[in-house]
Amino acid sequence: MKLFDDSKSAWVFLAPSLVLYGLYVLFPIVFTFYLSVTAWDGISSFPLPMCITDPETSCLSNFKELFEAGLFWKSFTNNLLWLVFFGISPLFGLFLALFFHVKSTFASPLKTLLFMPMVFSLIVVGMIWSWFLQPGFGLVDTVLHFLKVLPPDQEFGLMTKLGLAPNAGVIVAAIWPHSAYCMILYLAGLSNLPKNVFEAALIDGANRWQLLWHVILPMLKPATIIVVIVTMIGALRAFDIVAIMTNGGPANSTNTLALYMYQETFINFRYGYGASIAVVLFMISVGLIVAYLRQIKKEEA
Amino acid sequence: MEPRRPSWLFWLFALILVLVWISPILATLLTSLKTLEELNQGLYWTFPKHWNLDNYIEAFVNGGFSHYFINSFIYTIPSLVGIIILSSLNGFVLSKLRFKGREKITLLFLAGMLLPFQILLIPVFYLSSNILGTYDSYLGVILFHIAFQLGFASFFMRNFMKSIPDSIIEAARMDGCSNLKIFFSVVLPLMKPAIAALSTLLFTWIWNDYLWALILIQSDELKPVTTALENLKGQWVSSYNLQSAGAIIAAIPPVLIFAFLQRHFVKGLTMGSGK
Repeated sequence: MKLFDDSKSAWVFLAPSLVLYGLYVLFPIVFTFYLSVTAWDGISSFPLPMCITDPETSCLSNFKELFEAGLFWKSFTNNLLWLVFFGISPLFGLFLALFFHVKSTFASPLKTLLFMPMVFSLIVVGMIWSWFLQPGFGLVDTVLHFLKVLPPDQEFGLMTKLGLAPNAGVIVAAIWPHSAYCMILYLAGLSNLPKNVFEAALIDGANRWQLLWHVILPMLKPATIIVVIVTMIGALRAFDIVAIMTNGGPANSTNTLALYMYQETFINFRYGYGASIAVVLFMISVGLIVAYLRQIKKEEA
Repeated sequence: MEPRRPSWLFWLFALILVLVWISPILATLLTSLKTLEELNQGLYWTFPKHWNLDNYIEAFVNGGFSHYFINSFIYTIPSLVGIIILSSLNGFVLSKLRFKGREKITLLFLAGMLLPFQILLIPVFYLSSNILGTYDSYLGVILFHIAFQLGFASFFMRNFMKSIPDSIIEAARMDGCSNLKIFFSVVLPLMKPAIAALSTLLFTWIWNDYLWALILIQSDELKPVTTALENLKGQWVSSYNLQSAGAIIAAIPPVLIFAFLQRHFVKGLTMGSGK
């Protein structure tokens, strides 16, 4: 049987994937950039850049409008809030992983229950937490009533009363499954650490905190970098859970860039303007993607 | 690092922690077993007086969940199969064959998985409705899932295949096997753990997709559970018992998959990150 030349069969094997990937991932990136300089409404024939159809307008006028729009800055600020508070999930995940890094067969059903929220659709998570945080009859209020912290005829409503609310409610809901995800990554990181690290440090007279701070955490750094980048990307992508819990409301107070882009495009039929929001989101993400690729390359070297 | 031996104090805290952690799920389960009258009396967070599955029957029969449920499988299974086939091929190529541009293609695949979806939204919609004619069809969503998940999946498979010793492949080559034959008879059988791990991850992600079904599907008959659930949330406004039943139904398949294949799932994530 004739042996394929390596390079030839490589490209033959890759071809179907590259076609699909090019069509659905690479071409769309370029096309979105193009659309961001048009005023396309999604219905009329193929759009031309604004400065060509109307020499009076600048080709960047979508961006100009965007940066002057209050709603853009509101959504942007909310994404920043997400970045900060959603960023608690890696800490939760690390804590849970350290806590559950035990030698016992009985621990694994407990771990399974902790991982559970991770496999739910964010739509399901959002629905569950909407009731959970509902003012008046949600469990949070019910517990406060039961403990007599809150008079029975009053409502607390985490979603509406906290200073950061109602973003707080949505972000809390999102932290729940994401912490479980971070926990899995950290558990994997922990089990990859050399077995004798623990003993060696203890023999040297380190206490548990020193051990954690000076030995375990530095060794978990690769896992941490991945977890943090994935978390930041998650904060930028925030869409499903916001859509189902608040749909950006009340009065756009919980809108995020991803949801804002969706609304402008598919609700208001401003495809060109929507594309410019997508471009801004993309540009923010590029830095994170590059950092991620660097880390992976470093780990492989 | 060697895991420590747990003390009784660990078990106490662990149990409390897990109970608090899953309380939203328990509450949803309890709500889904109650009647609307019971909920209207304000008995939201108590055990149901009469255990019954009426809400599930209602969701399945009148809510159309039997249909949406099947739709979700129609989206998930073919996407999964497509990704597994293509990504194992890619993994083989990217880890075992030498050719120019190997590193660049690996990075290209890897970079795609972190993209903000919004950058793809309009063109994929345009492509499906104006060029490929796959808008509002099963195929349109399936093709997109395959294309989008290929990046992560190929990288994952490549990492796993790197751990397969080259000597095995060289031996097969000495016996005169073609690359295709090496792939099918030598590499693929060794990939079973990786395929199991990747399948659990992909099943969950595709089953839970909301955004792409929202963009690419219009007809009610074609909706998967996620977008259907969002619709029904509006229809069953204050019938939290029905909403809960719907949410539980939507969550059952990934939970079952996870419960039975958890070991693969966790192993998979270890293989997926880096080395």
